[in-house]
Amino acid sequence: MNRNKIAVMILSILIGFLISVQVINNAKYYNFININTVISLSHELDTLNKEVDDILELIEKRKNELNGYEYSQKEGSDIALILEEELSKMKAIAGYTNLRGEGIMIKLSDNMSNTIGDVNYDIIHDVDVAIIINDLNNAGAEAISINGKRVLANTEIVCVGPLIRINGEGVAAPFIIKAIGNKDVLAAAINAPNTYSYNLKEVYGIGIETLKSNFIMIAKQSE
Amino acid sequence: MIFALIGVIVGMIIGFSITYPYNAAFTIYITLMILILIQSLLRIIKNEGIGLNIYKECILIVSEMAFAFLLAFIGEKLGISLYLAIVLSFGLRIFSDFNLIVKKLIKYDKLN
Repeated sequence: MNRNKIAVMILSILIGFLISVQVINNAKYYNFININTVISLSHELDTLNKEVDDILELIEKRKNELNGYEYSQKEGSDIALILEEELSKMKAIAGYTNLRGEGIMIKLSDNMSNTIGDVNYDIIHDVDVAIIINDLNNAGAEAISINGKRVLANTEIVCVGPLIRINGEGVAAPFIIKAIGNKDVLAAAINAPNTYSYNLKEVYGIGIETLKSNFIMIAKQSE
Repeated sequence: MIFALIGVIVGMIIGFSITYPYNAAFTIYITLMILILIQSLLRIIKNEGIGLNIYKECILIVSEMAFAFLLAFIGEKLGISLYLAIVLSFGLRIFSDFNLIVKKLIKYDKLN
């Protein structure tokens, strides 16, 4: 009987001790989470880490630019020259200057042969032009124009019935796309098998002709 | 009964005076330990009149604890909240034991 009481005493002391330890350690702030929560949280963490890395990279890039400016000033050369050079580069990207160089010309024309299928398959749509422009950009085109309209960052290529609206003006087929860049790479982006334009040409019968040239002239954006 | 109450109070005083921090991962195990201890305490109180072997009780408590920890650990590794099963089973036992003790105290079997 006495032994039992001792046992009861020890047990109850242990219980009280553990309960108070739990209470002190604020157990209610901890949750038992399962694997799925852990996975989603770790994904979130990964994306955040990647963002941080990108931002750090940007900081590094800007620091390098700043160092370049400081170095040129120390060398004694005029900082205005460097800034002007940068300005002309920016102007070229923004479409304020005429550009010329090696590149390709592409002529897109509707399917003129007599087919009995849907007529929608025979004409060039805005999407086709947009995808070809994207292909050219991916192949490293430095400047692009469609029928004399410069393609810039804010250029729209939208279907307006029988025409395509580019820079707020309607443009009709046939489209002449000029692109400056490495002519072989650009031509490959258009003519290589299984590209979008190759499929347009071979499956839908749309006329796509490319011309490599060492002298392509792209006019500045007309206001 | 009174001994148990005094013991819990003494234990709480000791616990609050010794602030012992531990890893948050052990929260489940401490909770299970508390449950098992409460259940065995109630069982001992319930069986007091019948007579019991305290060493066998000790073996029982330790083995129960070990198995409960094992289950909780496996559940955590598998991503299932397996410790809930232990909480449920011991909760039921605690309640039934408590019920029996109260019945014994108020002499429930006797009418009047």
